[in-house]
Amino acid sequence: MRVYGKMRDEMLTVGTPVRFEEFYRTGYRRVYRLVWALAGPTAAEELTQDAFLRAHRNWGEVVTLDDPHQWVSRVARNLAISRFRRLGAETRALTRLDRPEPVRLSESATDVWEAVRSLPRRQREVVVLCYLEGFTRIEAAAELDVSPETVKTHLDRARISLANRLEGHP
Amino acid sequence: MIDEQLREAARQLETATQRISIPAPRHHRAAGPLKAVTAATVIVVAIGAAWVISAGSTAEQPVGSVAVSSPDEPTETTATTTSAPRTTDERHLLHLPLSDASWTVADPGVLHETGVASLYFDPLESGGEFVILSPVDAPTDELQRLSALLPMVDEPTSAVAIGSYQDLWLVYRAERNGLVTACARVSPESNPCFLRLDGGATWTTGAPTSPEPTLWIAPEGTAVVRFEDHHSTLWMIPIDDVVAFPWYFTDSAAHLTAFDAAGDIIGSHVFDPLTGPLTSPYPGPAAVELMRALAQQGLAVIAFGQEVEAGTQETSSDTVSTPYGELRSVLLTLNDGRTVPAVIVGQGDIGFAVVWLGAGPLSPVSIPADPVSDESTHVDDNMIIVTRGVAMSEVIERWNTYVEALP
Repeated sequence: MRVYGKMRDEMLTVGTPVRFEEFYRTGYRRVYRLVWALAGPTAAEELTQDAFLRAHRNWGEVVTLDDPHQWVSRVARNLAISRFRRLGAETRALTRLDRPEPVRLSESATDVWEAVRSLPRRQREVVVLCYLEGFTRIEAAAELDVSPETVKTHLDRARISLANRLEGHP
Repeated sequence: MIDEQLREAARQLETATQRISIPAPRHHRAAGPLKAVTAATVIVVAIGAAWVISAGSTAEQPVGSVAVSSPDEPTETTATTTSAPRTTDERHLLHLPLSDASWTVADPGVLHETGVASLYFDPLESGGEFVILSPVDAPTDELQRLSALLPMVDEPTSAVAIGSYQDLWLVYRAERNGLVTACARVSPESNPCFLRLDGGATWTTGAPTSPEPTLWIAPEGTAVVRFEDHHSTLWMIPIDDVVAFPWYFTDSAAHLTAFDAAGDIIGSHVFDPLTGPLTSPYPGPAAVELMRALAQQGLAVIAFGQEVEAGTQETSSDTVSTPYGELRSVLLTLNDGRTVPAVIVGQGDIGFAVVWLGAGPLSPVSIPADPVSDESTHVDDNMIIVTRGVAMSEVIERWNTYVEALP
């Protein structure tokens, strides 16, 4: 399995954990960050937990992968971009109430991420992979199983849309 | 400028998430929510075998014991419960209070059977308050697995599972042939008499009374079920002489396969989950008819979830009117460069169905696999239905086999 971007760097530091608890501890924040960017704060913890729960259920297989972290990240990304999963997680999260938002960003950064989440699914993924996860276009293309040209197209369109929304002009 | 903004937003997010506390993994903390909901009552309905509760019974009676254990707690604990019907209208219901200290389920995903009954604590739903009673052993993952297990049921109409999720009830019924013939999502608060099981033989209901109707149950055996989410939203829409079986559940689309009374597949459809009966004219009957008409013409129906998008690009599009509504005629270019004419039946941002009018083998590279591998595949003479996560080599093989068999 290919390992990319910041994930690759973290793997060099962390290595491949054998115990699920270690895997969870070392990977939680990165997955949370990914989900937060894609799906928003309300469902972030729920979806992150959902992704790790899947990993736990399949741990016997997941642990044998070259990069279990990439596996759980991909699961999390799929969960985050699924509207129904997201809505379900948001519903569950709302029933738990009262917990303060753990991630606090500047107003402008918050606006940026809200704008990113308004993008079409593929553009959203590409932006998050390239800007947040540190993927190159080629790495993002491999991760999404599309061509680098497609990644570039999505990225260009995303930037235009974001500029229109955030700055009022392309 | 926008590039800088994105980089700064990413930097802030990365920094902020480095400071968040890491909660306990859900598979560990599930016992907490379970205990937290002990004040609530989990209601389990069992019909069949040792858990048969006769309709109309009013006396408190022992209902048996349920053994629950987990890999983390090798000591199996047993809770013996007694319960009585709350009201006449709920005479078929038993209350299984979770206040007993022995209900210490560390991993609610574990299911153990006792006799013919099993309790399944779904960790995905608020830490375990979702409970279904399964007449067979061990659905191991999610609710959808129940349908896979139903063919194991020996007694006709004996497989009933009811779960509570928040204030909702999920009701499943299976026939001997394994088809789920009824599902419902109701609020017992607003519609307490929604269902009369009558020993499991008859399903009747009045009109839903909740502000947002979510349940229609047609006369026995005549219903189509629409699923939006395999846990949270279910729909039943009556269609004459059609029994529907939700072949599988995905998060990307609502998949429906329609059966006739003999159990033969007569149609299938993937709904855009965003345009259901409440927001647009219900497309179900038309869709089923469409599928039937297409099948009669020897056309393949292939329905993908969202991942079809990764393997195709829409190169042209034209809206055409048909007796079944507006359909979009498109040319789809696969990753390998081949162009396939198709009609998009329904499309949402996370799922759509494609009716392939062109015949040609698909390239394995055109459909990426997905690590979320809890989906299923079905093929019959007239259709291929797949969703993401299926072993794509199998899908391709089946598709190519199908194409080769075309006249």
